[in-house]
Amino acid sequence: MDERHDPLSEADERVVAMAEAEIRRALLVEPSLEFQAKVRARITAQPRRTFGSHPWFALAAAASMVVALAALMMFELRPGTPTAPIVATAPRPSPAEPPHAPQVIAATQPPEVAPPLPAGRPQPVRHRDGAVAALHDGVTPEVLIDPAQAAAVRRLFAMTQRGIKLPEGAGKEIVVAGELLVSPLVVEPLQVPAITAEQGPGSDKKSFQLPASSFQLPAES
Amino acid sequence: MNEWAGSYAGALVTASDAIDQDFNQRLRDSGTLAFRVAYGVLRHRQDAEDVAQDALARAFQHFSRLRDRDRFRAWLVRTTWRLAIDRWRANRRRTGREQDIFEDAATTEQSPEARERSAHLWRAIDELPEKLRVAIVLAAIEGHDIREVSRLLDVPEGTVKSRLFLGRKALAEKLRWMNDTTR
Repeated sequence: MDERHDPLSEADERVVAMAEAEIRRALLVEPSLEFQAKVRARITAQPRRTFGSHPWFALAAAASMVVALAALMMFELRPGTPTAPIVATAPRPSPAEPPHAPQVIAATQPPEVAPPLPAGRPQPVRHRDGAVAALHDGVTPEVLIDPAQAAAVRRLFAMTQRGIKLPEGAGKEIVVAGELLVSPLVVEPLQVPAITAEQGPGSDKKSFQLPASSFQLPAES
Repeated sequence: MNEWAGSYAGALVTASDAIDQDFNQRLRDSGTLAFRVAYGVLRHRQDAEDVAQDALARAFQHFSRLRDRDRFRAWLVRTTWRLAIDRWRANRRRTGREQDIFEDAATTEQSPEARERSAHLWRAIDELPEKLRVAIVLAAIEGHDIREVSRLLDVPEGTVKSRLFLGRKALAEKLRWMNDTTR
């Protein structure tokens, strides 16, 4: 049997009974007469909880926002959703500006490579939508960009066409891809002057010649 | 429209009044219990009242979930106990309030021997593990039986029985010398 659960001895029972009587006597206390009034005053002083102040309300609001965002993203990324690739053409440099490399904004899709068809069979005619055809057949460099970015670019074009002026300093943050191009690093060949023994004061060619005897091995005995 | 808004506002006021009345009833029922629970830990009237008031004010904030009488009492007792233990630990850290054991009028009227015995007893209770301590104190308040203590602590009756037994045994071991001196 567990020693902890041994019954109390008679003497221990007496001590415990005495202790419990003392605890009961000590806890027969009453609060002051103003106790309840103080509680009510404290309740009145504290701000009442409104519906919006509940912690779960903030949590629920945050959770619903996350769900809404997730649903929106799923809708945008759904495979069946027709999201035509948007082709943006880099602006041609004006004659006044110095020519630089074509500006690549972002490439989101690699170009399609059709598998080679067997020779001799008529090739099926494949209709491609205009954007993809323009991508493959265009002469100027073209790239695919993210739909959100494309929408922003479209808005910007519309604003400029309508003649709306951008606020001052708004264009300062726009990084033009051409500005990011690093000019080619030209490494000029190092020209090291040939070193000759004749250079320097008091040099003599003969001083570099070793005597022929120094290359001879000692004869075997 | 205005009539409808007026009746709606009147209904709100009535509901708020009903909650207030309901809470006042709970306050009358359980206010003293909360104070005694706090006093059982702190043994300082002012601190115990402060802690009990704090617990009751918190109970008012959660009153919509605690309308059931039993749940209210159990929640109040557990919250008061936790707040009182926090206050007791803070007091001990700050001042080491040993002398406050004799703070109230009932104990100051006792003989020096009785006061010393009482001090030893409370020190022994303070040294008990918290689960045993709360069972012993709650069983001593208002003549709570095991079923009532189990409801207040939200634990099975067997657990309360076991904790009471272990608590009494630990107390007996700590206070055995008293039996020798009083014999």
